[in-house]
Amino acid sequence: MIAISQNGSYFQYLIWVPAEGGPLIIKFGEIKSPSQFNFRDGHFASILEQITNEVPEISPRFQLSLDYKNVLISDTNYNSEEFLEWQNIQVIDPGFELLYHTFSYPFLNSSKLLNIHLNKELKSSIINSIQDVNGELRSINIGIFSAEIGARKWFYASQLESYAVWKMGKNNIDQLLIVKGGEFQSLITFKRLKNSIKVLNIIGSNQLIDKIIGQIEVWINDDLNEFTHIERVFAYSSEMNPKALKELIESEINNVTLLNPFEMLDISSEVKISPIKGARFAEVGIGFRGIDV
Amino acid sequence: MFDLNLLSEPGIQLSESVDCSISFIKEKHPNPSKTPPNINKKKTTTVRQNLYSSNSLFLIIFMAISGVIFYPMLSNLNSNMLMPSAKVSQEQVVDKVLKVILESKNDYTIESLEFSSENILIHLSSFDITSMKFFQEKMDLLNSGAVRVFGDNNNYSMMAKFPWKITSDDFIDSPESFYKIVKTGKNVKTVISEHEIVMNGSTSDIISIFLQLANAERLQTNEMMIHSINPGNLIFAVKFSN
Repeated sequence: MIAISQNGSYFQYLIWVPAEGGPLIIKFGEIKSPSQFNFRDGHFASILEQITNEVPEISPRFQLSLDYKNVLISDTNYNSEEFLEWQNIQVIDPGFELLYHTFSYPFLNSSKLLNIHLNKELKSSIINSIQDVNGELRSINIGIFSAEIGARKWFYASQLESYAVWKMGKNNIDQLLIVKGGEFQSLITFKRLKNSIKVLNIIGSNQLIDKIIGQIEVWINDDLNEFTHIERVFAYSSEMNPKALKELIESEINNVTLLNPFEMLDISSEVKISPIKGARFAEVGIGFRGIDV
Repeated sequence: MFDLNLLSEPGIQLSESVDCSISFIKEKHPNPSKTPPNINKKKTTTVRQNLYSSNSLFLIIFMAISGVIFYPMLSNLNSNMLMPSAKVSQEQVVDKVLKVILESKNDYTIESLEFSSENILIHLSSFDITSMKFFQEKMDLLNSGAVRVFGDNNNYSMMAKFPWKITSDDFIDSPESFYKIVKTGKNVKTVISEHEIVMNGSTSDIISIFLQLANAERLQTNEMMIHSINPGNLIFAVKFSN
């Protein structure tokens, strides 16, 4: 299986095969895309070719995580197909439906919907690229949601009552995905300022957000021993030199775990990767969907 | 917690994890040149091949003689079998084509729709096989099998072919006669040449032009072609008749 995640202009890949003790990583690496990269015009097919050439003996079966910037995300406070249709007529340009697929995921006891809007042309271009390399595409996921699968599969997060996945991003703009009782709770985008946090966007429930954001502010200004309103926080960054992530890990907060797949998976190669660099591969979590590690 | 999979069908996702992979993996067939030679087997094969080739020669000669003898009977049978298509009226065909045009915004994309002097060829595409199959049933006149769905992995095409005849002699033979019937609207780009008028506009604008022609009963006068250029935009060409 070849798991690929896109982060800005980088594609991380991790290739694993089933073994007696669970998945065995046989190859991993990253490819920088050309400056004018788009998923059309054979650009993506060329990236796939580079990856498959690394392991020609492996069937080209891919699981893909796209950069969060490739989709639009919204939420709806009422779970009904009829309501969605009405809402679309009221607030969405008629051209939008021609250009975008909308996938709606129920949460909070199915009372609300998380909507992911994916450009139809982008989806077709990805499928065309898979066809160009005679491959198979098992799934398409999105950034932090793919990392959340990793937290469940590598670190057994589903056994926890509540947990959060924290992506420390470029220009101090982070994302926090909160799961409670096995259900999606909220996705927050915020900016880390010198002494405080500025919340930029909230999708889903407001519950817990103030408390968790407050504790992140405590960490910025002082020492934080533990996140008290959530059982565990899985942190990672896809940046080349994530200083803030290093600081967070060095702070030794009791219930913060670095979301580094290499810590939990067997690897056949002798190539070593540092924990912080390993966490750059967190978003390949989609590649482990549906299997027990 | 749900697992996003944007390969699934759009809409509300009812299960937490969906399996809907798309595969273009080609099965590897064993290379015949790598099969170890088997001399005994080879001999048998050669003998059998000779036997088959002489049999097939007899069969061809037999079919040729039968063909000559029974040709008149077979040709009658053939023409009887094709007769049902003649029972389809032009009105039924127009009705089906209008349905294609009017429903195109909801369930599928019109790739092309061509009115030639002998038939109408329709090519639609969709990601949704269910709506495609449903539409195929509605379109198939007299269960003639002239409407087919192709494709897999959420990328489907429907091809339909209907009998058609240019019956009216009230042709559109110039831009003037075209504009007497149709108002194209300011958002439609138009190119007029000696032989045709070509319009490029949004799906709704082109549908409006098509319906104006249908209302003026001018669908059976000229050869026409509708083509998709990108999602939401169509090109519509009407050939001038003399």
